[in-house]
Amino acid sequence: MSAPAAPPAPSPSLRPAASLPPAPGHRGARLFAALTLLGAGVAALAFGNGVLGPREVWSVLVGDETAPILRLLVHEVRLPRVLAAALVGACLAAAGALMQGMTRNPLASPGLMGLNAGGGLAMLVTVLAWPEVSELGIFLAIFLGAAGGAALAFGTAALGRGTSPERLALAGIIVSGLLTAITGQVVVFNAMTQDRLSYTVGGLYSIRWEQLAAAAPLAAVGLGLALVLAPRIAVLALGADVSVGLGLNLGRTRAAVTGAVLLLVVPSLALAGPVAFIGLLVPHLTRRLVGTDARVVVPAAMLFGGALALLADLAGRCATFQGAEVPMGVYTALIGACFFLVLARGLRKGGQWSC
Amino acid sequence: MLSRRWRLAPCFWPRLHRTLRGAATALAVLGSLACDGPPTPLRGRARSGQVQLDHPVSVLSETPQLRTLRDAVGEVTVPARPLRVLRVLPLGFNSTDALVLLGVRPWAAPLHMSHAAGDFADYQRPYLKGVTSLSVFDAGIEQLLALAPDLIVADAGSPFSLAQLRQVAPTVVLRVAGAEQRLRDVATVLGLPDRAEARLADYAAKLAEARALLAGPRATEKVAILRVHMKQFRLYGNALGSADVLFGGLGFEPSPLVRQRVIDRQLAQSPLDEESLALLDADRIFLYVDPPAQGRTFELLRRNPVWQAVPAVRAGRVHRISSAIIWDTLLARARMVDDVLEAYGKARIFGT
Repeated sequence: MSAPAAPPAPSPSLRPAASLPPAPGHRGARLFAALTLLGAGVAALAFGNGVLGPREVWSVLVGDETAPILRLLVHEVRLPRVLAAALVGACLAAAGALMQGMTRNPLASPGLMGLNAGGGLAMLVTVLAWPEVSELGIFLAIFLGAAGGAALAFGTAALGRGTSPERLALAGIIVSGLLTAITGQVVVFNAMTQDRLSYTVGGLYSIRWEQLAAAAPLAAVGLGLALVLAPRIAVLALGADVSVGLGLNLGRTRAAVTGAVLLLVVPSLALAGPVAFIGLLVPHLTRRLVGTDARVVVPAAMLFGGALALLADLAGRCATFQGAEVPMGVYTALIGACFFLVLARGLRKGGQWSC
Repeated sequence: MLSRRWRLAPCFWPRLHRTLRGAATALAVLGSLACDGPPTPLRGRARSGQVQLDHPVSVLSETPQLRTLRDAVGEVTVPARPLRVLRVLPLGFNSTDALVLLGVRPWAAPLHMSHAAGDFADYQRPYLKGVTSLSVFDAGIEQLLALAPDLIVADAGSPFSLAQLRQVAPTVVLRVAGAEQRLRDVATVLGLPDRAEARLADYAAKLAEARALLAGPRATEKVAILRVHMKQFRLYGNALGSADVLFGGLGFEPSPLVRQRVIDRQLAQSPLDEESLALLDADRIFLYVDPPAQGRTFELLRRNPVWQAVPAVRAGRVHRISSAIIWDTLLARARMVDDVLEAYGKARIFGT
């Protein structure tokens, strides 16, 4: 894999995607991804921690249920949580796909590039410093924290010569580790030891419609932008020189992708905190299933990401320990770590990351 | 050629000799340290059975200046100076509260890890104004040395080793014990057994009086204790901290959910997920909100639609109580009685 080339000269405003052959159909793959998300969503909606079973949820949804408490639980607890899980998964997976495509680095993801850690730290500090802060204030803090974390990671990687994938990954790990350590220190200093997990392992607790309403527009813009940018990512995959030759404005594309990634990461952090590995893992799995064309990978990764987050959250809700839920970040990290081993094994065999 | 490459340099043997001699010296030092006894934490001693966890403190001999005691570890001689000049350093909440109840101002007092620096538990604050705070689990032995106490009262769970503590001051290691026993033990150490009995009698009288005052609501209401930490809920049974004051001492009936989720399962407390919060069937809820960001936590709870639908909340029968609920000391128990009385006072059960 080659390192990204230096920024090119401005190019004529030619639609780059037009220069590529049309994307292969992959209708089956897209249908499969959509069905996976749908299945995961239905399961997440139907099952939980004993109070609400599939029958109760069904009767509430079709309007037969008269018990107000069950209606309340479905409408105010289960539904927003399921939607939030799908949204968080889709955003993180799309962000990972965009980052991996743009940097042509298979290790790029919000979790590894300092975005999650930076945003998580900013959120924690903001909540502690201004307990009465509004949702908007939290969003702004996360935005700045995530952008700062990413800038720190890219800056650290650029300290030496070039930004090879390994360099960037190492820099990201270092910056994430540093920011997570600071988060840990803030948690300990504020004597929040029991609450530490909520800030270092992402999870969905007590999601309200207001939070969802604040996060959804941002996420929608981010997801839309990701879909719009997917053809350009596909062109970028041909290499910087070729994409410039095809009329892609590299600087503008990278700026747009970075903006889209921030728009995707901020709502997911605000809803669930730093959820590990979805952004790294899902694009890889998706490429394995649908090939490497970003025009197919990005939308499919969104669907698979949503499904994975839904299932991880469902697992956390069902497999309780004496009534205590397991944050979904624990499960995504567990799956992600196993996947990482497989990836590393493939690397040793083939000598190259599958990107 | 090969043999030359593998031939040893002339300085090799002297170097090896020096290295081995150095290693032998280091081993000897380590060995002598081991003979002195490695600094085993008290916690470790407790596990290995060297601490008699149930051994009460007893006085073996006493002079006007010195008192020789038998504690959970062995014999220890402590100064018996007048209490107003004796710098007593308690290394646990239990002992701190016992000192307060016995009318002895602690020289410094430990904080719990759920409290920020300098911030004693809310129920202790009125009694510990101006007392130096000590974050025991972060403090090094240097900090204890700097305090220069005359006497240390340690728990079997103290993070310091006994050898370390005894270099700072005479240290009494107290058994693992409930509120009453701990008060008696600390009183024995300080030579105040009569005062301890008087405080215990005061508490018993207070409890009896409160029990009589609460006879009405006790007959009609089933109650629950809920602890909220950020977005997480915990239901308390009767076996943790001062919860027993409500369910045992004051004789209130736990609500069916508390019984089913906590007491019947023989748990001390049980986490409650948001959906199960809707099942909270108590007539009255005693609510403890954890620091930090108590205001934000309470605000999030107040806006939670599931919380708003809980019958006790709709009826306005929710009372915030102090952190006394999470501690089992006589001082905390007395505060818990006050908290419950105050809750019913607010509900206008006792007149105006």
